[in-house]
Amino acid sequence: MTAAGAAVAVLLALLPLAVHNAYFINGMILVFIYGTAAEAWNLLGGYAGQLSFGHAVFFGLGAYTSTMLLARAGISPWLGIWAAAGLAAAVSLVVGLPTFRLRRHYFALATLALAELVRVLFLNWNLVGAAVGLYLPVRLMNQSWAMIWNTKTPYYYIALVLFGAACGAGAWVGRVRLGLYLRAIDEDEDAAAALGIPALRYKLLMMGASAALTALAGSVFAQYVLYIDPSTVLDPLRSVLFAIMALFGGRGTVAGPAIGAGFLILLSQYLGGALGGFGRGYDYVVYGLLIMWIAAYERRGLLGLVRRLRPRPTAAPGPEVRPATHGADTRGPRPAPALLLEVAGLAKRFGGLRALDGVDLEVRRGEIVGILGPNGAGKSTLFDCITGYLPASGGRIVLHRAGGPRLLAGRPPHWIAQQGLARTFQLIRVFPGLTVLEHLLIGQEHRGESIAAALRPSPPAVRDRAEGLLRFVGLEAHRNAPAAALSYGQQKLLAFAMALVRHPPLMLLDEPVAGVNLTVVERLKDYILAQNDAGTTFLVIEHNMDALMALADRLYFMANGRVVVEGPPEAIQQSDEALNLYYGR
Amino acid sequence: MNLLLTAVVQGLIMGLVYALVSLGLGLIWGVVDVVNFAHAEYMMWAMYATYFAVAGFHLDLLAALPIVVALGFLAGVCTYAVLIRRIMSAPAVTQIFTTFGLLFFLRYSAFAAFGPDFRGITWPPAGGSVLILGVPIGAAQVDAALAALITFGLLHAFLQWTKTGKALQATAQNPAAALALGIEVERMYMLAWGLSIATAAVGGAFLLTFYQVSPTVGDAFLLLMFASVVLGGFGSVLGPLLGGVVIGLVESVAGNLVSPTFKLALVFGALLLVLFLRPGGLLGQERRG
Amino acid sequence: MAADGRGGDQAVSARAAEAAPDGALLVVRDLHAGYGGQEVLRGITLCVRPGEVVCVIGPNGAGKSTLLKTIFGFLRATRGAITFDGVSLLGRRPPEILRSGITYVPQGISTLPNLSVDDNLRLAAYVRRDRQVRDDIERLLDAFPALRARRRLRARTLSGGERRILEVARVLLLDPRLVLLDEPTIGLSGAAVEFIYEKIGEFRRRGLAVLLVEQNARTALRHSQRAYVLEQGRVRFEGGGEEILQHPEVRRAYLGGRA
Repeated sequence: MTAAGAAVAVLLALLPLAVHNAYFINGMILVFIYGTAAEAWNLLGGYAGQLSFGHAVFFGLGAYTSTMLLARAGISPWLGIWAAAGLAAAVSLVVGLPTFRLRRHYFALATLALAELVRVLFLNWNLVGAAVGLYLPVRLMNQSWAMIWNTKTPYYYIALVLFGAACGAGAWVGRVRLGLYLRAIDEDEDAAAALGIPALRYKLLMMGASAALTALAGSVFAQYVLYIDPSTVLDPLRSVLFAIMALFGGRGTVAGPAIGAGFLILLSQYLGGALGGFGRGYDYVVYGLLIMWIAAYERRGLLGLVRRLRPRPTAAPGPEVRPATHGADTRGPRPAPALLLEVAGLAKRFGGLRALDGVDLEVRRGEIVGILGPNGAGKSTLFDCITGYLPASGGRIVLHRAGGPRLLAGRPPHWIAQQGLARTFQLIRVFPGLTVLEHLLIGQEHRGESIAAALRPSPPAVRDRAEGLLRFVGLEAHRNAPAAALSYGQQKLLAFAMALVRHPPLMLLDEPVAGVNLTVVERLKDYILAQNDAGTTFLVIEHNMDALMALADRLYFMANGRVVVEGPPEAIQQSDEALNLYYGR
Repeated sequence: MNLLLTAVVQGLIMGLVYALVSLGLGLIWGVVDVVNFAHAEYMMWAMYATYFAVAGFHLDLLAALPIVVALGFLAGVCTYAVLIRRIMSAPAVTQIFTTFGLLFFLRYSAFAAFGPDFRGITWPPAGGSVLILGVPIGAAQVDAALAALITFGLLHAFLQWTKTGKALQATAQNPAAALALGIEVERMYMLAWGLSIATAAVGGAFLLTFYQVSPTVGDAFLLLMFASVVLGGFGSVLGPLLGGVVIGLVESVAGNLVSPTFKLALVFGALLLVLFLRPGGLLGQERRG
Repeated sequence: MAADGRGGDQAVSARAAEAAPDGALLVVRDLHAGYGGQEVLRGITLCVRPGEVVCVIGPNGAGKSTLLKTIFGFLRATRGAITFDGVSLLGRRPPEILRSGITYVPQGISTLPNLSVDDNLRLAAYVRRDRQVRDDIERLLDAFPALRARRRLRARTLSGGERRILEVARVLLLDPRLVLLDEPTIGLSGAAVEFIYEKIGEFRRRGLAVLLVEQNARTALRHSQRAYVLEQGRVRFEGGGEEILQHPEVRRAYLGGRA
């Protein structure tokens, strides 16, 4: 917790002793309750990037569960709220599983529909009071075990503690590995999978946590207002409000949702008072305008506006790339060592089109193997099939590891990555909002990483490795710059380094030197050779013939979905067959 | 059997109304690739505009209609020019965020301007009921369904038989190719927004003859609109039409034969099913070159 | 046109400087362009004259498609000059460039899939305001009987070859002075390829200038007067005729190797 945070906490704790304005205290209680819900929403929507517009479901479930347990079974809410949280978490996991694979708009729509579905159900369910709603047993007034009082102060502190816990959860996630992984998943789930990050597992975790916290907020809300019905706690606009508060303040941060909730609720209170009558809705009119303005002008919300005044450190000036330290060398023939990757009869059909028509290739340990060929030959499709981004239509893909051969066909990308296969993409994929150092931290080994481990910061060994790789590629001066601030060449270097963090035995590079200037080309060649000396095996697609010829031990020339010629670079260069394939008929 | 026939006829009629109010949503989604969560609020404002024209200025509904439609068109164009244009290349989060902000703004401006009360109008041609296939249906609903058919017909004619209409289709199918043919894609987007809100205005105007307006009327319709568009597919005129009719049928059959209280639940269940199984909709087109 | 591939750049730009003034319709000088931070075109200089078919060949990643996109305004040039009939095209948007008399047939699908062949043709004449469009379309369909048979069908029901033919035919409705074609024969079989090049020959006879990008270098060279060989964003060689494929400089552009 920062010094500012601690100061704010103390201030808030002492507030009721100084201020006795009931209207204001009421406002603060609402800020804490809504703030909790906004922070909870942020765990899923801000960190994991799943924009739910149905979170009122969990709010309502929380309110109804604890209230029913108290009113019908006489169970103390101090226990009841945990039951509510557990129920909400369970429901969220059931809901999350099928909906997570929907794209953004559809996911938002699905959550809206689900929330409405639940609301209609509750509206007509007599057990929970249907449209009439539920009253909390006011006869238990001022009995602490029932969490019902006729003064605001106890509610204030309960809500404050809950809010503190929610902020704490957000801060914790932000500080540990999980926070990084989630932000990567949010920015580019496919690229995160290529590093071995199991996205579904973490998204479900956030879903459950988010639902549980929101339910707690709902329970406390019920205890405070003493009456609930579907239109107050299951209202779809409430769902939207939670999301809006987080987005408005700045999603993906801890302070953002808190600020958003505080700002919007206090604004509502002030406008309500100044413009006369809450029912007129002027406050929401202003909300609406502010939201549209922020969305169009500063997508990172209020926090983003604040940050503009206080610019973060960006890429340091200086020579972009350091002079090469590795001299050019000749590639001599090598003895045939163990087989690492074996592809046999690989086929991929898109409708009637045969993108891959029976590809056979092998890669041995310590080699640099190149793939070249005209457009449409199927080179990137080959990579996508090997790494699990496209399901193959036929054939075998086997990775030979110490523990035995692993069949890769049909497995998801993150699993394949965890077996020791790293890749870069033809269209460069880095995470624009993450810093250079953070890129390398998320590149760490994910195989066997438990959730408990993800909830801790990265170990020193990983940090050392990250620093070492930064020096290796010459980016250590930019460690705190967001990737978006780097030049294209630097981003290529970053993608390369990121894939190396976990010592992958096999690296698949898709056009690693495309689109960069000659200096960076030379540097990347040197790095690839240096890594190869250190034991990494490479399979490289390239069009830059000079680079490819200098790097590769062996080449496969592909055309029309199959391997047409193979052999050492000199042979390919003399090959009229290869040349004619380029030249056409 | 009689119950089923009643359900089907009622469903068809209401379905046409749903189709009409959803048309604009599908149009923008298909042409401009923006999902307008505030679409129902525009319909609500059109209903208020109609109310004041009829109850305030004592115009006949059909005389007020062109004014309301023109205002709707203007509102659509302005929304694009002032707001949407700036978020065209923004990520989905921002688009969703922005249109929700628009929703808030429109809804609560209505609250501020008109208060929470319900208002309705009476229109003589909408009184009484008509017999369709032996089933009595309120004349107001039938008028609205007719207006829907006419609107769909006009829009279809515009898209199929005018140069600008074809250019609009081209923009929806392949904006880069359209640009290469000399079509001003920005102007097409403005046109799409104008048409979208204009059709919502027609829907709102006729809806007012049998459904009262209040600032929260959008709640009841937003998900039904989305259900129609998602089910039927966007990017064509036929998509929302089919989707709207199907949703109307599902709602009516569910309401009459299964349970009136849970009919909406069944509609949303259908929406979820479609989202999981075939998000492109029944008539969904392949988008974009 | 000396096929002397001696030291690439200087020789080429010297030739281009001579070539530019004499009746060249399109002149590109030291053009640089790219996507995001990535530079793809690194100083291209070339020209095209009326009645000429000029092809641009070279290996992948050379920037061939990017070149056409930049000329037509889909991409902004970062440096260099593009002039058409003496007037600069820099900073202009595609509809404006279209109106100045340049037509662009991009790579991949550029027909509108859910509109009929007829509608596609009418839209091809979008910028025309005269009343003869209908007659011109009828005459066009006479020249392309395969299209006439399918005129009411949606473009996406056409085969790949037929679609390409439609795309090339559309050019004739606008009577442009320069046509940019990006891989017009990709994925087509022998007969369709010949048909397309026959039409390109017709463009030439009408006095149009044609700049075409081709993956299939041999075929392109057979049907063009001049060729530029691009590699890594630069012009590596300029020459004509199928023989240039045997030139070591051209071989080197495609497969690397010692200079």
